[in-house]
Amino acid sequence: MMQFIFWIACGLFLLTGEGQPAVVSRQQTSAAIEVRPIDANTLNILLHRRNGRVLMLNVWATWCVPCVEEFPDLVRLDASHRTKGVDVVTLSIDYEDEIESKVKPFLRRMKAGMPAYVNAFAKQEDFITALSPEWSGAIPATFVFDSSGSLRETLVGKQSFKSFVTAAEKVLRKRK
Amino acid sequence: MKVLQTILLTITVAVLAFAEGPKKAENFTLQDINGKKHSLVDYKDAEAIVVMFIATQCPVSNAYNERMAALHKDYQEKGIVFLGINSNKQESIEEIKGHAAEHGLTFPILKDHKNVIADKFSASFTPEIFVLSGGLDILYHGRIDDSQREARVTTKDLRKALDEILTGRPVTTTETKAFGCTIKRVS
Repeated sequence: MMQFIFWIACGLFLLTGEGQPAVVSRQQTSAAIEVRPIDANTLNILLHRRNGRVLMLNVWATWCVPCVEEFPDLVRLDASHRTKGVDVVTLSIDYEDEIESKVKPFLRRMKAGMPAYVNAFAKQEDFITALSPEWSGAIPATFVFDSSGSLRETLVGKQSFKSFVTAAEKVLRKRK
Repeated sequence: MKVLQTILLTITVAVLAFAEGPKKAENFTLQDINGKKHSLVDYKDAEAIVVMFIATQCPVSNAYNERMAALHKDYQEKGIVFLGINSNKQESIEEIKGHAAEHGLTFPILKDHKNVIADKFSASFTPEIFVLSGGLDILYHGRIDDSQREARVTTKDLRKALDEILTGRPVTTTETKAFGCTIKRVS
């Protein structure tokens, strides 16, 4: 029964979110890096208000070695594909009380100018399912959403720059 | 119309999910870190077999070391068997031995060379739990509880599943999800 209620809730959740403010904004300077908590409502807006752009959403954590290892390639992807219609956005699953002590210093070191969030869902499971019901929760994970907010590619585990580019361009091609 | 379509799709998915019976695990044989062989069928008379994919270097798995040791202590006398499995390619038997000794993990830990068993179970992260019946039906799959920070735990999913099994009731929540480290597989 709980599963049934959950699926209904998911369906209704996806139908809402119109008329909300845009949430994607770039970091202004590396000194004043901004990391915002993300809940179900903010995630819904992020996924569905695409303005014709593809979204590559990387889920990571400061404690996750492969996440840290692949991060420079995300920064590189942001630089190479921002003008091609791709928003690279990072979403950390570190705790909110670790934003200042762990997340921001790492993003500063990486010179990451992409919009950055930290998971603020009350339940991990709701966050995982909101991104993809097929995702186990293993990180790093990168989800590629097309310009209508539909999930097109899921990359689980450490990626290379080449695999990020391949996934981004595959979804970009479908946009045209 | 769109709402109606969504609701109908939702109902279809839910009905299909309920219609499925329990999945079955395939038997395997692996050596533990002390060289002893274990097969799932060795434990056919157990109340349940808890298979835990764990790691030495994963901070999430390590956050659960004490909880795993406590679960083993609390449930082994009740006829529940615990088997840890390490499928990470970079974690050696010596490292696993040292880690287990340091953290008081006294249940057998099996080394899954080339992640063969992780592949059979489609296990993808650590710590990831499968609870099996003696007949190898998968009764529960998912997390130990809902927060790696013990103070924030609100549902002790694995304990709840084991308690239900021990009292002869069906497991009410058979699947849960949680964040974890990807299992580092051979390429």
